[in-house]
Amino acid sequence: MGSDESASKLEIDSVSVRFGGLRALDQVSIDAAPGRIIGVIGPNGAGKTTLFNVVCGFVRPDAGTLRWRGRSLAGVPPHQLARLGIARTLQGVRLFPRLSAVENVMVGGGHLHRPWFVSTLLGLPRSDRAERALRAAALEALDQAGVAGVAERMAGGLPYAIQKRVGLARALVARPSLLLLDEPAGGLGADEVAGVAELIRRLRGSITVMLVEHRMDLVMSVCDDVAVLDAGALIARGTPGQVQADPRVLSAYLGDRTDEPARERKSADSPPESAPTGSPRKGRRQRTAVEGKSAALEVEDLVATYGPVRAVDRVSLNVDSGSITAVLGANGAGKTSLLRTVSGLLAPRGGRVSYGGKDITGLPAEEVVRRGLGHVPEGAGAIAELTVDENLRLGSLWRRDRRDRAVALEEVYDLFPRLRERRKQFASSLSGGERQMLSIGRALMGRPQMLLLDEPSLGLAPLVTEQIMGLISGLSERSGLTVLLVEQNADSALSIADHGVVLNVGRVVAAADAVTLAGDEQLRHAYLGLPSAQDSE
Amino acid sequence: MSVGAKPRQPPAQPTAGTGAAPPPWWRRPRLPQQTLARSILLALVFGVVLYIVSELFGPFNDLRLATGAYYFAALAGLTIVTGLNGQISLGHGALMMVGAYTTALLIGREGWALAPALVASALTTGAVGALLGGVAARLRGPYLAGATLAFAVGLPALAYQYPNTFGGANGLEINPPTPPSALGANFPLERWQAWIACFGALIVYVLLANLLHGRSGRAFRAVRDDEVAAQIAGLNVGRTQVAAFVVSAACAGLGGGLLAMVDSLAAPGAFTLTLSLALITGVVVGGLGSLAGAVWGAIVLVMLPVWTGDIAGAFSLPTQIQSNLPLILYGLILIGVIVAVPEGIQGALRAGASAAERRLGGRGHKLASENLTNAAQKEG
Amino acid sequence: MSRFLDLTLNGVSTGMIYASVALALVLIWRATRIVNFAQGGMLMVTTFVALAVINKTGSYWLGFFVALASGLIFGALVERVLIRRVEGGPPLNAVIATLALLILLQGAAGAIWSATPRSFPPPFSIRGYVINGHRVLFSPNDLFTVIAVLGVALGLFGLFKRTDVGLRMRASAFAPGIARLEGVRVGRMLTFGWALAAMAGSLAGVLVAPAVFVGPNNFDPLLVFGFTAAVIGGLDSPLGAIVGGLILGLCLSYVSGYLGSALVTLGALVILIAVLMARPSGLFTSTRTRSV
Repeated sequence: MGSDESASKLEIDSVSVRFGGLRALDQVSIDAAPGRIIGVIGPNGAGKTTLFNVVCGFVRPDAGTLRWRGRSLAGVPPHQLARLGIARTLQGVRLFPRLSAVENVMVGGGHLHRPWFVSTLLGLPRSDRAERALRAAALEALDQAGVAGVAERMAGGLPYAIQKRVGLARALVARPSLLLLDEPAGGLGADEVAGVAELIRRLRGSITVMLVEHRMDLVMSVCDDVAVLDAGALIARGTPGQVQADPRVLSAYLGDRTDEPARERKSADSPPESAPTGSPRKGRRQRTAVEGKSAALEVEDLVATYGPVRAVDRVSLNVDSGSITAVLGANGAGKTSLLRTVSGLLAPRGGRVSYGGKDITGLPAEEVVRRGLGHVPEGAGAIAELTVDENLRLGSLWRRDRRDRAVALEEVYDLFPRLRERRKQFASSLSGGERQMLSIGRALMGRPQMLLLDEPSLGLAPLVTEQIMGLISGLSERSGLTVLLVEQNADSALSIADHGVVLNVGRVVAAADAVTLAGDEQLRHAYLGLPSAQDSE
Repeated sequence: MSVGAKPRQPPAQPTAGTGAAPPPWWRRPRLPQQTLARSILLALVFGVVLYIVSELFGPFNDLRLATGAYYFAALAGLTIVTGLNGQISLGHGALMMVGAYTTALLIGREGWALAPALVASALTTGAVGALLGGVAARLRGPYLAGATLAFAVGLPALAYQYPNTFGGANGLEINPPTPPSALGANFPLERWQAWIACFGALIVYVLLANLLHGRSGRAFRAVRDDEVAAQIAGLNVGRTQVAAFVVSAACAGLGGGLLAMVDSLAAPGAFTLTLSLALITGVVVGGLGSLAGAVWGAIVLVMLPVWTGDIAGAFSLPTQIQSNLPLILYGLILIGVIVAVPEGIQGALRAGASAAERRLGGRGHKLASENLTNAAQKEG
Repeated sequence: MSRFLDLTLNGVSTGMIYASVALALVLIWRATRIVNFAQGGMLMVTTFVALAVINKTGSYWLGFFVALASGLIFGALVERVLIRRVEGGPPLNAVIATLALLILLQGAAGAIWSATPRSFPPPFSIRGYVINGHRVLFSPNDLFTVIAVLGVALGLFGLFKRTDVGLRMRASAFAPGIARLEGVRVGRMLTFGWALAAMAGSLAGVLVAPAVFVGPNNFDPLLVFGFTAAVIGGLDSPLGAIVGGLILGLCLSYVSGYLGSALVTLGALVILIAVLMARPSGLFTSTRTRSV
């Protein structure tokens, strides 16, 4: 707070961290120059969040030093950082849900205006003054973040994008000199990301900002400086343009250029070894035409609610057998709710769902899976307290044929060799990408004819996402698996899908084959969170 | 990007934190903005109300009033540590015991006056709470419940083991406080005790409301909601949790001291595990996390045994059933409440009030008492 | 020296009884993330039932197995009727629900059977074995106690780790939503978990009954000690329940023998605090979770 800018330097020097046998960070050295915005990117499991945790004192480094303003941060517990001028946001926001927005921010500024305990107890004017000052500072921070209007509302009930801004206000209220942002764009649509980017840009010069992010659109448009981690080591450093062009970075992380329009990328796929090929779409459509279209899944006027909110509002769609259908839309459009209603986790209020010609409306999830419909849930699908092996076996327990269970297990391990390596390990020790593979593998253990996939790319690096998409595409190719795929990342979803359905506020606003959908500019911009043609490079 | 319904306007405040002049007195909101003035005003109002109520009561009800008052003190403390700070304590009965015995020892053995003895009891129990809190800060959920359970069951053993100091099973007796001669020669002892107890409860209410309205209240709630985020925001989680325990223990200690005064006795038989369980039940049925909930809880704890005893008597049931019927009904009602209305009486009232407010289509009038308790209950 | 041996052997047998209660609590915790404070009341009721059967038919073993069977049924019943309704909510609600059930059961038992303690016959002799001419404080009945509890514990352990049912139950406990997606009928697994747990509790009830007599409040200390033992061992660990029970049984036996029986409850408190300060999640908790 008002200290010499040139002294507000963060120096991370040869920091190493081991978790058991795993090298989370390997002699990483990064300097954050004052007033600059630095992005830290890298594949899932590269150590980005561990790096933040080390700076914040949640994790003790096994080697190396950390200096802030010339003084060592070693042994400084997390709660003392605020006083040193360091603030941080957390993955997924993590507001205090049962406090109001302004109260959340006031907690962040708590060390600023401190009355004595006794004067608070007795209600003396001194404590009133401190409260007022704190509250004013909090309201100002909310204003700075653009969400002054929700000050008195309970934080838990706010929309996700608003929560993120409140979280930012909570970090900014104490006027930090160093701001650590952990995935500030996570879970946001393109419009919202632009807003956050603007907020961050405004901080340039007055605060040093270090951010960890997967979303390239944010990183490239906001950062002065980008550092790339892979498997715990720093592999590149430079301006966004330099990093994008660096071949090491490309191979480790970006894979194919992700900013090419979906249409062109389809045919250029060179699949990684472990995943089956995603073949050109033309071939698949021909095959379907030959076998004759039969709708595997029919959804008619489906309605589902969360309390008073209509999450799914009279949705109708058909999924042809053997095809891949993508369900797209912005955050909160109802995609996950749709899937959960179809698979029986959420009870419908109206409408019909039938699968393979049989009505499954309202059947509970444990019965639906027995009909041949597998569901890979969003987010934490792998059960952390079970081993990889146990997770997989769980997927086949409902099947009577015991011998086939063992066969299925081997098939899944063939599909995911990395899982076979870790079969005795607890799922909690796997990286995000591996857990997603485990989730998919477990669903496959039930030998479903149709797979419901909920945001398989969430939290994963582009390369891993591509692998998984390729895998899904290949499975559908080879075994005729019908797929209903919910995705925020429209690009990757449309690259393998036959058809697409776009949801907005629980309703279907567009349904067409994937090529048409990918090409429709208006649709892309408005609902898919993609830049329209004139925006992209 | 402003969203949603209009926020409640914060009261007219200087924005820069400097001392700009507040608006003239006829334009101020209903209650004074200065916390101290507000507290004193409310204390006076409650005091008058209690005076009137107690004048209408006979001695038996005076006893119940006093009982409710000391239950409230303990419940208010418990609701802070369990409701606001999220740490389950099954040991508050034992903390009351510490307060009761401290009071009894200071008055009976050392000849202290009542008021200083009560203050000392609160402070002593607060210190014990610091120890308990230190242990509790390292524990989570069921482990904490277990530790406090063991504390509740283990502490009374001290009374039996050292009968010379603590009077053994018979406990320590103290002389009841005599009403001052200014009130008249025939002033009932029970009413005087009720007044003292209610005064103590009032102080607890006011002090806690002050505390909860500000940083401490927010800190407790923040730590309950998300410990990691709280640390990032600069809160020392361990210290906050210990602080919550200290405050709640002090309240329980005061409650125990008042209990000793009302019963004229501090004996281990009054502080069994059942008491701790009753306290937890009281805060939950009344509504966790709010001082108003503690009031309801105190009423429940006092009146429910009375009502169930009346029912048993009305049906002329055989002794075996009659003596156990209160327990049976107690258990059934508790189950009913926890299944059907888990947010307790206060929570249900609040939900009903906001539903009515929505229906009437406006912000509705804010009741005077809401200002004081609103902050304490804001966690919802 | 012989006193030490006496106390040790006594500690082992009482420890196994605590272990059985601890096991019951651990099972329910793993299945539903709830601490069943009503366990003391439930095993009290099943012991009363066993006593009624024994008195009517004259057969101990019939009463014994009726106790276990009624434990199974009682556990399932409590889960379906009461616990279902508080399962998803805040943990304190479940605490209150089980406490309320405890109060209810104690009141009902007092109303039906009165508070007068009744004697319960032991299946084997309670006179200690004679070793080297000394009669030690360990009888055939004590031996039976140890074997019975170990047997049940091993059986349950095998069930959980090695069977499909066990895997389903663990999945239901850790991630019910995902388990449902994999076809596990989670509701049934939870009910089953409670049934097994209550059975373990019933076992403890009949084993301790000869010593403490049967009455509505006679099993209260057992609840407290069982809980302490479970916490010492770590609520997630059935093995920890056994070890915790033994540790507690031994320690309390020594406390009672050398320091006086009134200090037993305080002793339990001290032991509990000592263990938890060193390992805040008990001695045998395994999985680590990342919170940041």
